[in-house]
Amino acid sequence: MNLAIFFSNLKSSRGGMIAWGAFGFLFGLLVMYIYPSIGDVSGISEYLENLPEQFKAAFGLTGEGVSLLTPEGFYSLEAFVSVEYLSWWPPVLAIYAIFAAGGIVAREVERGTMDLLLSQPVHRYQVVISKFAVFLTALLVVSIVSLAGLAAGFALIEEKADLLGVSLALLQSFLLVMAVAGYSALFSCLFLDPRKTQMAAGVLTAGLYILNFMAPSLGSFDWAKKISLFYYYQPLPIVQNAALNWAGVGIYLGVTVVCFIASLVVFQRRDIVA
Amino acid sequence: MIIKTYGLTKYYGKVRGVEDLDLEVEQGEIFGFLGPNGAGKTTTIRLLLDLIRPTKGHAEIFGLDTRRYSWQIRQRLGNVPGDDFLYEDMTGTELLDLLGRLHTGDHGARRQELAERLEIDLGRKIKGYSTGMKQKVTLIQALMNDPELLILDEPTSGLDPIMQQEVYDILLEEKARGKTVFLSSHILPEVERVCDRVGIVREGHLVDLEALPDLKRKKVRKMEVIFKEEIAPEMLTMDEVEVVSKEGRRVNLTVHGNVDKLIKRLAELEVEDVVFPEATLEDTFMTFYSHESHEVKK
Repeated sequence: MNLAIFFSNLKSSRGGMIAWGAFGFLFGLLVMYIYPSIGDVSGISEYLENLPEQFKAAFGLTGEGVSLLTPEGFYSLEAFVSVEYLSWWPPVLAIYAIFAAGGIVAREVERGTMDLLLSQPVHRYQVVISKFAVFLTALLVVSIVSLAGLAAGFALIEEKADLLGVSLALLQSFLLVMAVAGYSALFSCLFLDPRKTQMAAGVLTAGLYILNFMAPSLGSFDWAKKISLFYYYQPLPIVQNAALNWAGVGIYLGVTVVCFIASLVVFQRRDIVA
Repeated sequence: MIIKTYGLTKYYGKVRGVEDLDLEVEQGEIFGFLGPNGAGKTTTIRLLLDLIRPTKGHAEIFGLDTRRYSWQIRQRLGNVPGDDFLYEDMTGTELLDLLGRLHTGDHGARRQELAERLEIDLGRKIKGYSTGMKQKVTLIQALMNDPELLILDEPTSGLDPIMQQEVYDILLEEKARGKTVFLSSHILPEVERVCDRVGIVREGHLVDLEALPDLKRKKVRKMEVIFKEEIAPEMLTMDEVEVVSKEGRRVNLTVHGNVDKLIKRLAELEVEDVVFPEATLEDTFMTFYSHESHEVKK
């Protein structure tokens, strides 16, 4: 890594980091704010229990021993935060990853500034590593600020929630988004074109997301859901059991490492031509 | 030898960038790399900087292979890219700080001196800079680390004549300090002012490689003369002068090389006005290089 490039890029990405962090914080606060008005609505238990399987899959509500309801039959806080916040968070942050990580080299090549940078004594791998590290730092900051928003929301409604479980769910979503960033970075190095990168990474991410909740409808092709990165992100079991999905952790790290190494190799060999 | 290329060839798919380029640039010289836009000058520079990879052939700088020892080479050179693409959200100071940190050594004093000579306020955001101001920043970043070799792609583009002259002075000072300059340009007078030797590239091929006096001899200039009275074109017929057209008292000529004989002949005639612009590279190319073979002449 090159610290000069890292800090320079961190500074220039602070606007996006602040905006996404503020969004995560306020979204968490807002979701918690409306929980008291929904948690004990009559009929909510029947509604939740009768949700289609695809919906439950999409919102990560499936898993061994999970329940959407409290013993008293109310919409549990853990289920609520899983449905209304944690299930949305990876697809939303995936958009951030596609734009931010997908642009790590493609945007500079398109703007012409990569020529200036690479005519200095700096290795190409240093550029990719430094810029990916900036993205991960920004993602970490956004995730921590989002957790703070949820914690503030819990305090606001005076509800006790398992912050460890929520933190682990956010960590799992961090790793999922990191994997999305991994292949976005690879596309960035392959295409050296932000629009092509965003198109490829966007289509792949949307495809994987849809596959996760459509697969249960495909009968004998149900196994296909395991191809989706989103299959390994089920927030409710993580929150209720306070345990990561280790298979998912392994897959996310594997995808990230493989894609990142491929990015370094591809960028090292590419002609820098906009 | 500071730069040496061996049959350097680059194709972008089926489109030729440069082909079989054999160049030698010696230490302490200012080498002009001339050619019209699209001739392959920038492709050559990008190959030397290892931004793109050759289809065939290879190049050496400081005796090191440009692909294998790219990083080591870039520690010792300064580059002005052909386009003034900079980090728009930074100030000039922030950009130079960033680029300076990628090199070793202290560049503060040199940077300050160059900023004063080129008359630029580095505290402003780059997005507010004019084209000329951006060019000054790229010149400062290329020069501030005291490189042994400068690779400059159209370094005076966007600069006013006074600043152009300042840049020429700086380049001549660098040469006097034993530094080497590889200067790509399509402006003939610029090359005449500072270069010791020139390589001329056209349609991806090196078509000529010679010392500057030889190029000056080949220079083609247009002249328009308005006489007080109509004259016979034969009156201007002489070596190195060609009458291109004649409309009444107005005669258009092309002058190849030395203008002395023509001036003396005109002095014998009654002349109302003369228009004699700077020689353009395009005119020289049209005359000397349009039908020549692509063999390199040394």
